[in-house]
Amino acid sequence: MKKKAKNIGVRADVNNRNKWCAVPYYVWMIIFIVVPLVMVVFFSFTDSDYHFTTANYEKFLTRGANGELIYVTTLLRSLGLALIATLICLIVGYPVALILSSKRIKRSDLLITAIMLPTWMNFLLRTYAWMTIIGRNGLLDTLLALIGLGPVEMIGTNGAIILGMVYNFLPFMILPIYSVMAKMDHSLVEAATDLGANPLQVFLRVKLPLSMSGIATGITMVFMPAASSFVIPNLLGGNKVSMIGNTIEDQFKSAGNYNFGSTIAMILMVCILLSMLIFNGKGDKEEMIM
Amino acid sequence: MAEKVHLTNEKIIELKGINKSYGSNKVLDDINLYIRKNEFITFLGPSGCGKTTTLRIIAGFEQADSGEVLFKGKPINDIPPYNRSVNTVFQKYALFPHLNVAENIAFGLRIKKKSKKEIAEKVEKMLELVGLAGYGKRSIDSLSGGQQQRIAIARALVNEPEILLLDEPLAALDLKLRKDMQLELKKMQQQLGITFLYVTHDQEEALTMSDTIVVMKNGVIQQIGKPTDIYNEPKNAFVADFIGESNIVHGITPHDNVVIFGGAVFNCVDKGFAQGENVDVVIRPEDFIVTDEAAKSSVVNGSDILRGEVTSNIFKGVHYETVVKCGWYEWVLQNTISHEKGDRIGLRVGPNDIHIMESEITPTPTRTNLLVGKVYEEGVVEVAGHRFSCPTTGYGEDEDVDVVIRPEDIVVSDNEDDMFTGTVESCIFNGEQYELVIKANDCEWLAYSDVVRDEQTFVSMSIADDVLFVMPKETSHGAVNHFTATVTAADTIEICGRKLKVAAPRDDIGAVVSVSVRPQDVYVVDPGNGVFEGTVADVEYKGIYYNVYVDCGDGLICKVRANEEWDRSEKMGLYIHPLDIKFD
Repeated sequence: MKKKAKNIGVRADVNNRNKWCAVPYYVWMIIFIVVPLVMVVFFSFTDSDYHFTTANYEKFLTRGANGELIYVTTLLRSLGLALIATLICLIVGYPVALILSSKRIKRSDLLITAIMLPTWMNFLLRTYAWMTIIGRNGLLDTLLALIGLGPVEMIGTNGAIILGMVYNFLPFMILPIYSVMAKMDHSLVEAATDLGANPLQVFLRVKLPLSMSGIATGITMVFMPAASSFVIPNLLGGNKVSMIGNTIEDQFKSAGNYNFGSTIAMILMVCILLSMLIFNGKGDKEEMIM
Repeated sequence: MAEKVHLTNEKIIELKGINKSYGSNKVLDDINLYIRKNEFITFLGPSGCGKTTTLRIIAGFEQADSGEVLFKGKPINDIPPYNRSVNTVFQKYALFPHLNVAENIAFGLRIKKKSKKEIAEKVEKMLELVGLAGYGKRSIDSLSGGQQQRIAIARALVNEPEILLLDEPLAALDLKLRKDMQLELKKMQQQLGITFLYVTHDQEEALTMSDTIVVMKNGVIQQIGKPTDIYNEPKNAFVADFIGESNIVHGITPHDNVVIFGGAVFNCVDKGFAQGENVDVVIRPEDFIVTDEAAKSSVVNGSDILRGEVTSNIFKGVHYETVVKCGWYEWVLQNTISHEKGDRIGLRVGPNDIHIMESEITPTPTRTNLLVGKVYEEGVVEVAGHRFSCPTTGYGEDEDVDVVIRPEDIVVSDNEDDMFTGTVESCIFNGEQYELVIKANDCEWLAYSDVVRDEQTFVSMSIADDVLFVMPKETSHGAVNHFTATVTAADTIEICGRKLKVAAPRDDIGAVVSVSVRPQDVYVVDPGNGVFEGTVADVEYKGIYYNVYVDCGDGLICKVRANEEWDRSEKMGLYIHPLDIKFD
């Protein structure tokens, strides 16, 4: 925490010196970040006639026919699926980053490029590709049929959505962890070894705690887009699994209710912010314990 | 200072035939050494000499390609670093940034699962030892370089290793701090009785702290010894140059205990070099004795005064550093007397202060054709079955002579009517041209060619008459200087009024005798430093060397064999060692 404060100090200092260089960025930020944000807040607290109201927030607590909280359930489902996808990304991505950053891998830059390569392709296209793989009579279905299994309905399950998220967001977990690990001073590992730590102890006591900042960044970069994603649930969820991203999209596109759409967006934002605080706080605490 | 730790002969580490290469780059070449218990040993050398690699092999971070590392007599090649009772202080400290000072020091103890109480006690003790008591809770970032260094040392020492490896630990500190730390490290080592293996490129650091210094260069150990030995008796010019300041010049040893360098003759304590061997001579700047130019010398048949002009004089605090230019050489000397720029002074060096070592640069032998010839008749010399017309003054008919034909004077062609025909034995490109070895008329000839020629193919040579150098046979009479001398004392003769010491004792005082001296036993020195003084009268090129005829006055002409050409009427002194004066 102390470190962060110091960094901000440095940045402020630079800004003082090159004050005018920053002006275009301020203008950019005001137009494209602050103004929209203010608009979202404004819409969420007004009705269609621009009168102040809290009705939108009350509507969020609407109960369905069976008495369940429709929107709250959707929100929780979204956060839950995003959390699972993030954890899978971490479990899969961490070892990959660890291996890539080890000195024994010679062409790690090439492998990193290979990992990044799919992200250069259009997001929709990639997700469509998964549809053809796991869809009905798709590649996987056909293969399973050959060995006498199936037909299996995969599109529209939570699993399909998690698969889509992990596939799309995994590079964003690997990269920050890799960059932290690659920058790590190898002499620290040697120092730990020299002090009697075996490879497992070196990992637990030096590599893992020093890669915590990378893990925190990775979690943020995966969890945030995963929680608010609507393309993946749309395509791989097959309109069966509704997520909060889709709900917002529906409000803006089909229902034309900007006010309620903004309200859901606001609630989602607060939820992500809170969970991020929890993640990062936990990360820092772990660092301190180690 | 703590009481001096007694050095035993117990070897704690032994390296046997260690080799290590990175790709085609050989970084360690057959390293053999041992480290005694409680020793402060320093690996010293320029960067890239392999000192750090050796340390890393002992620590276990690197594996030797071949050879054995013994720890207390047991091989430890296959033991991973975390199971060796060796700890390292890294060059850039390598402190764990996520741990505070106390946690850093405790790292090794925690791994060993020591009790919390024990850890706390030991950490506290270590902090006290390195003079940072009360710093335990601080973060690493908040420490200065010197403090971080102390923590790094504490972190290693707390594990009570049998050997502490230090890889240039003071390199990043400023001069003042470095000097303090040097003394502290030495004190710590003596207090704790731990073997220290220290790696540095700083010779002063090595001399200050070490019991033993290992000087390395290009992966090869140059010398192992006590600091005083390394300083006073460097094994070669590299060691002399690396340790302390020194003047390194080329010299020649006519006989044991005599060396010629800088145009003067010196008595020295070194023996065992070949007669006329090329050597490197090292003189420490503080070992010069300043005398006046006209000082008399005690050297037999010569003089040991270097005469020259002061070209610079710089005050260095404790002493003056003075540069004196004597002929071809510039000498750096340190003494407490100030000299004015432009002063002419004489320099002298005591026999014990002259360090002689085998020359690093072996002079390349002149590549030429030395053939056996015979004077056929007046003006004709027969060589390899062919008769050349060339002057034969001074040689009788049928006399055997040596003939030198330089390879560049041989014209190589394919013409079958040529003087010599033969076959190409070998053809090697030397960077400029092809060097051919040609077999013709039962002789092997060295010749040059601009075009490549296949081996075992026909080739012919022609040689002009005027390129032959005819020389008396090595053993024959004409080559030697003959002097008429008078015996004036048991060990002294007089030639044309100049007194020479001789080795063989004479009892016929007053007798007139004939003595001979081979031209190669007469050495050129600066004017004023020889037993004879003269000017160059004539120079003859002999293909391999020059014959220089020196006119010493009173009709005394001395023939000297020299490797370089001398201008006529140049002044020089000549030195002859007593052992080289032979009575006929």
